Amino acid sequence: MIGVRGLICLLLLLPLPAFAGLFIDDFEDGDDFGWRVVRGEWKVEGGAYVSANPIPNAARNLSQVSYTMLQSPWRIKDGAVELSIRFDERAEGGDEALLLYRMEDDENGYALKIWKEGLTIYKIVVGNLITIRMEPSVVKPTVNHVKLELEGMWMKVHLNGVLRMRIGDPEKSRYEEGRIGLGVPKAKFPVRFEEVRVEGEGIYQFRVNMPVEAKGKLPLLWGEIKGR
Amino acid sequence: MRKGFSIVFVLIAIFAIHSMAFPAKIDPGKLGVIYYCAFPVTITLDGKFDDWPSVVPWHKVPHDRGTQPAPDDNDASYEFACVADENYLYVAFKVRDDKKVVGEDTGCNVWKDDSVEVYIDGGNEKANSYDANDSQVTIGRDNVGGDPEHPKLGGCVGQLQGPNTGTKAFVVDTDYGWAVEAALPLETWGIELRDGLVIGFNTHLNDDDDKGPRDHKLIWSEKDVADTSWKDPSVFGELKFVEVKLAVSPRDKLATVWGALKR
Repeated sequence: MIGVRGLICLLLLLPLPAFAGLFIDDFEDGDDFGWRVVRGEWKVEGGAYVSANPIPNAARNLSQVSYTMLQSPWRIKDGAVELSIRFDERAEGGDEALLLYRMEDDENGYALKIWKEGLTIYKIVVGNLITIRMEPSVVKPTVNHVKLELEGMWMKVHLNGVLRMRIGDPEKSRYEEGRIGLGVPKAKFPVRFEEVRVEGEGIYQFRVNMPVEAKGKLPLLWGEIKGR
Repeated sequence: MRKGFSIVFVLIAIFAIHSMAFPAKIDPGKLGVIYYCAFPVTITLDGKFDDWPSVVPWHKVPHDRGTQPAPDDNDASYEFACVADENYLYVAFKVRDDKKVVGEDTGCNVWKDDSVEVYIDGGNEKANSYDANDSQVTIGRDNVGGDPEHPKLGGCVGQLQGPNTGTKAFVVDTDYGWAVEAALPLETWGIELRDGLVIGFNTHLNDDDDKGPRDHKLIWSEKDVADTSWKDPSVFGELKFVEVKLAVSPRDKLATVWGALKR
């Protein structure tokens, strides 16, 4: 007889089923906790993560891109990444933004570029931005809401609520999962990234305003811990 | 005993005649993978579709199947069918399209306006680049009212370019959008028609809603995941020619082969 305690122990040993979860960073807390700047000048300001330094020429390699990576304990495989991107009015459509995803490290993964001509998906191999597909699309000169859906090799891009792009990467060299990041490959003015939302299997909120267990005591707000 | 045998015999005979009097079934194939193309059937290019046998399968490509999806089927979607005779591969398109945009980009650039594309790999080599029997043939909606014997064609890639393929096309506007009947000469691609022959094949739709660049791109082949058929035949699907006795029952007489009837 294993008893109730034994049964509980046994249940705890069973592998937990994967679950679809959610991560949101609206940058309203005023800090960039969880983000690691790889290149460029980034700051949190007015509910946005802002790339401030100008990038005069369109980058063809991540070494020329101002970008930052989310140091999440999870990696996105299948699911969705959403955010809003706000270009400066003075740019008149000339500035560009990148959403990096399934990044295996700082130099390998995928990127979605939002720019005046439309949407471009790149495969990033050792920093090189290799175009998989560019599709013309109606990109607004100021605010654009982007939703990227990932399912196996398929990548679907919704721009301002409309499905605009559906492409696949059937290559064996496909990146299956990885971290997300934000980047600016070309800009005269600051580019603002707002309300980053990631949804998918194994995703969870690992940063601000989430209760955590501290040494067996009552859950505390991560923000409180950070304040100590 | 004899009476019972006679009844069974008559029933079998009725069943056999009945079966012959109804159209044969054609395997529909698989969307994005393979299309079974019945022959021999000859089509008159007139945009009426009344000579397309009802048993010929139509593959429907919905609004969200392609690299540049449309919001719904009325904005952009299409279905196509194929038949062949000893001289031509006939391809029909019925295109749902809510906005007509033609004349802004023509000839080799007609892919930026409303147009359909047929891709042929005559040898089905599935190479990664075009060889002498690979083509893209682009047929624009700007051919409405044009000369079906000498249509304006795009597909200016590779050695055997669309405008040089001898393709004929009749294009009409319809209440749901527009439609195409095209005849592609088999000899252009060195195709010798026989039962079971398989060639590389794909179809696309380009939809322009508001001038400027193309707005929607729909694709049949499930391997063409990034719109690379224009340069890479390895992403085509397949078309298999199947010899079919398309039987009909003219005025209660014995079934006759459709091709024979038309002749």
